[in-house]
Amino acid sequence: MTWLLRLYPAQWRERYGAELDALVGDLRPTMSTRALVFDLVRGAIHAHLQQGIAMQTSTRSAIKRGLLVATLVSVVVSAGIVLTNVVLPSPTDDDTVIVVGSYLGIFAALLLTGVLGGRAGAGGRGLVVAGLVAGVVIGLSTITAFIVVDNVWLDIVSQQQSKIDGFASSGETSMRAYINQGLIGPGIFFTVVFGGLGAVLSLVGGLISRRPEPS
Amino acid sequence: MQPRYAEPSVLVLASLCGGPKHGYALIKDIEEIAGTTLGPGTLYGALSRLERDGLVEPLPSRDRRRPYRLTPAGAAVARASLEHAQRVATVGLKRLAAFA
Repeated sequence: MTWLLRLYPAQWRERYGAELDALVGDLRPTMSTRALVFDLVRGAIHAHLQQGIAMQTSTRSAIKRGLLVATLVSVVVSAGIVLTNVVLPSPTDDDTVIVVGSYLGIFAALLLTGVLGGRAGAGGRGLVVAGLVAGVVIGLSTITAFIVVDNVWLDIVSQQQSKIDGFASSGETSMRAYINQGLIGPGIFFTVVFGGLGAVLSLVGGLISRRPEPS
Repeated sequence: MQPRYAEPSVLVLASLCGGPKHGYALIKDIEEIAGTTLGPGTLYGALSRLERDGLVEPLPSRDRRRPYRLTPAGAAVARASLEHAQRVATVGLKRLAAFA
């Protein structure tokens, strides 16, 4: 009759399987096989339904937390883009430290998405979806910030030496067209790479946050 | 508003009011107090939901037979459920007396 326990969800079986198996062994002498089979099958169906409901709830919660993290990161990154391109543009065009710092901050935020999702009880799929959503939102908001900054403050941005050099050798008829053309590649890059990294880092963060079951 | 629990969960809570019990002891105790036999799948379905909601907690396991005990939140839900059942029974019996 142990084979019937395989009908239960793996996570449920891991927690209650041994106890349920022992109980079935205790009940076998007094309970009919048909009644036991019927009850175990019904129990397995309920366990799957419960797990499905719990998974939906925890996944939604993980996505909400991921969106909150992504929104905060987007605000900070967008403010940084305005600051470094418009308010305090670098005279040397060298923003390596800021760019590396921003990437590290985004990676940490995607890891945090997983930690928060894990604490919300999300499973592997929920963590991946939450990280993917957070990464895509950060990617889209980053490129949106660049589009806005480059078009609204074109007169300031177009004074960057890299833009002047790039435009001169681009063959484009206007600086605006050259800059917007140049944003398509990074737009796809940010969205796809941050989405993919978000899925992986969120999964890692969720696994880190998972506490061991009481023995 | 407190969530309502199905009959097997209430029976488990009522049984655990008498102290910690493992699965087999729960089934036998519920047979005695309610005259109904819960199957193992039904019992563990109820136990898993009650544990998830923090109404019962597992104790260290002996020979794969893990006892469970009521938590303070479980005791409160057990009291509310049993008082509700008592109110329904009282009203029902009164109406039945008038009907007869």
